Amino acid sequence: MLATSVNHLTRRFGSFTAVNGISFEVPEGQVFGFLGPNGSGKTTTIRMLLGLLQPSDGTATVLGQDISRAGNELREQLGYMSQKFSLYRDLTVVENLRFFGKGYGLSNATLRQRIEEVIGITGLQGQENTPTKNLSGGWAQRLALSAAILHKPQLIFLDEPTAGVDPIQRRAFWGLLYDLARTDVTIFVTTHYMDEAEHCENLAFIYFGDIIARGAPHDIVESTLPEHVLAIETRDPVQTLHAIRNLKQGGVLDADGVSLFGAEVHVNIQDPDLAKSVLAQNGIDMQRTYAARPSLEDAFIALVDRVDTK
Amino acid sequence: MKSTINRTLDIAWKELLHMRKDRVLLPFLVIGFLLELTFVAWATSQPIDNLNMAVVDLDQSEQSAALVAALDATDTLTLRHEVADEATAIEAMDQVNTVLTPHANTILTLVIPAGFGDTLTSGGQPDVRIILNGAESVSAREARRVAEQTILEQGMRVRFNMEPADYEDQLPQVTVKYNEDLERSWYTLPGEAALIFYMVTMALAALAISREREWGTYEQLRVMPFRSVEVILGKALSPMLVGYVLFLSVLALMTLVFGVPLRGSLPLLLIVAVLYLLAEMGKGVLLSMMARTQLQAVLLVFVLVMVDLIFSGYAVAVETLPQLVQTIANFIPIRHWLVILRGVMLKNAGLDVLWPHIVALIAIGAVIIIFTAWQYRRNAS
Ligand SMILES: Nc1ncnc2c1ncn2[C@@H]1O[C@H](COP(=O)(O)OP(=O)(O)OP(=O)(O)O)[C@@H](O)[C@H]1O
Ligand SMILES: [Mg+2]
Repeated sequence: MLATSVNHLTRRFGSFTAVNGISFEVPEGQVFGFLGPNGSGKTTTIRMLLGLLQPSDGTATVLGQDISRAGNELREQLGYMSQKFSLYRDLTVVENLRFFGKGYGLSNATLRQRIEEVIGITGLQGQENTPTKNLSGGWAQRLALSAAILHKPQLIFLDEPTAGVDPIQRRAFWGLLYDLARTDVTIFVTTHYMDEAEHCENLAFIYFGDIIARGAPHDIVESTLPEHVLAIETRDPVQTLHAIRNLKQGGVLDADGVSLFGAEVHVNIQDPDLAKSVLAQNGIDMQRTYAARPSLEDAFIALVDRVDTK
Repeated sequence: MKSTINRTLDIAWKELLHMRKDRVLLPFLVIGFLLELTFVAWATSQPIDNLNMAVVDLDQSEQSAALVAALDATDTLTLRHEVADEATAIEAMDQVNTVLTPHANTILTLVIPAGFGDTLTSGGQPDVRIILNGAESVSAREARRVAEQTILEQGMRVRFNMEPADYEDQLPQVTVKYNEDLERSWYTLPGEAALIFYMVTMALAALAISREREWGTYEQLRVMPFRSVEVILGKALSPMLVGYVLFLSVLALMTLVFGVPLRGSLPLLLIVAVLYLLAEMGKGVLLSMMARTQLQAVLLVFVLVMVDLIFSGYAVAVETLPQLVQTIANFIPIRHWLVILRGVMLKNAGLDVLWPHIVALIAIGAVIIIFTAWQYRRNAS
């Protein structure tokens, strides 16, 4: 069964279209990544799926139910961790969890047991009576996750759950998500981090209201960039980037995309060896080069490039 | 049903937790308003006394001196200035700087014409004039009443040698019901109490949802499987509780300390208070939902309070207002509540006479709460 199925979903704010007739499917029990740059419509889509926002057009089903007719029975099956921290800062960790648990209809006995469990899972032991406003960013995110999973939802929406969290905490957090996904829970997560995206079983990439790629990370890379990447270390990356772009535009180099990747310049190309010799002939400064398969990030940049030049 | 009540209480409990953690708001509201009531009670239990009087005595006779002395002897008027002519008297009345010259603000100026004494003793009608300071209308009215009565008595004394007791049977017999001594505080205090009750609960209710919006917790609350009525009532419950406790304190203060009688049924009053609270709470939560921030919500409450007060009968009896205002007043909860509160306290009014007001309160409350719940469910936008 599908955890979520979206059909031509559209949302307009006045004359501005934030989500433009998107369609995708989220298989059950997976970690599904929803990617896109700032302002491309991720949060808007999630809010529609949760019934917080009316679609302007199109339909969607969540756990088999049409979102336009969804009620409290559906809400009981969903968890939501919003982009903005949305627990009560003046309440303590346990007070927050208790309120959420009761809101989702847990009995006192179940609640006590579940609070103990999620606190164990998320490692919040010892912080039970800390006022939430005193938690650091990473711990606050863990608490928010705890609140979202307390009632054992079947589908959890996580909107940029790891924004502003350090890499170690981030990894730990994703560890938690995988553990959850192993228990048949479906996780719908948005992120800006490519390493996180690579770990999702399925992805949809939304770019200013349109879905421009869908599928497993590996497949997206494969279909977008069948070529290799030639990575070039150079003394002045920006200048080198421009020089290579000029060669590409002048038809000297037959490359698919040229981009800056840290201090390196990445060139997407069929034959890295050939490209290297062409570049050398044209006086490009190359301190060190290596050829690699393109990363997900390369793929997305190429995709965005294609949309923008269209 | 049981779970609806439970879930309403879950939200109410959370709201109480917020209230407990806010160390400023609640003490500030409660202490502030109790002090306010005390001051109002104290101020209105004082009679209007010692109003400044100026005298222009152009006669300088024994009779004119006696009249001035009689006026000065009243509690209401106190002689502050004796001036030579009317122009100087008007000047004194124009003087409003009461900070530096507290006695300057003359309320009443008495002008005694030349020949006053002679006219009076020869049985004629002297032209005594009084000039009132209408800028202080309440004081001026009181000053006029006392001055007219004293001048009349003084005339009777000199012309017919009669003391007030001698002609008392000529005057109509006055019986004052409900407030035998016409204590101003008996009228003012229940109004003040209603106002406090109203303001505190509205202010707290206005924060209920706007606060969640500002905190960014509103959407989280909305994705939880609460029914809209559970949220609205849960949100309303803790301000109601605070309001109710405050109401009980104010009632105790009024009756036990300031001597306002409670002649009717206390249980009736306590039950109707809950109905009234529900209606006001619905309004507060509705405002809270319309506002984007707490500040906006509180400002909206301000405006609403101003509007409601016009129709409430808090300061002026509704019956004296234009017909249109009277009609609108029927839809304002505090208007009914004030009638009920004053009726029960002073007139021993019971269900048999108050029921239309009670029914109106219930109807208004139900409409407001249903509308608010509908708005909550609808405002996914
Ligand atoms: N209520 C609203 N009214 C008007 N415009 C809105 C509203 N909500 C969102 N938008 C606009 O819709 C677009 C998409 O916003 P959205 O929050 O969905 O982006 P996002 O992909 O979640 O971005 P981010 O990564 O920054 O969170 C933005 O341009 C935003 O300004
Ligand atoms: Mg977003």
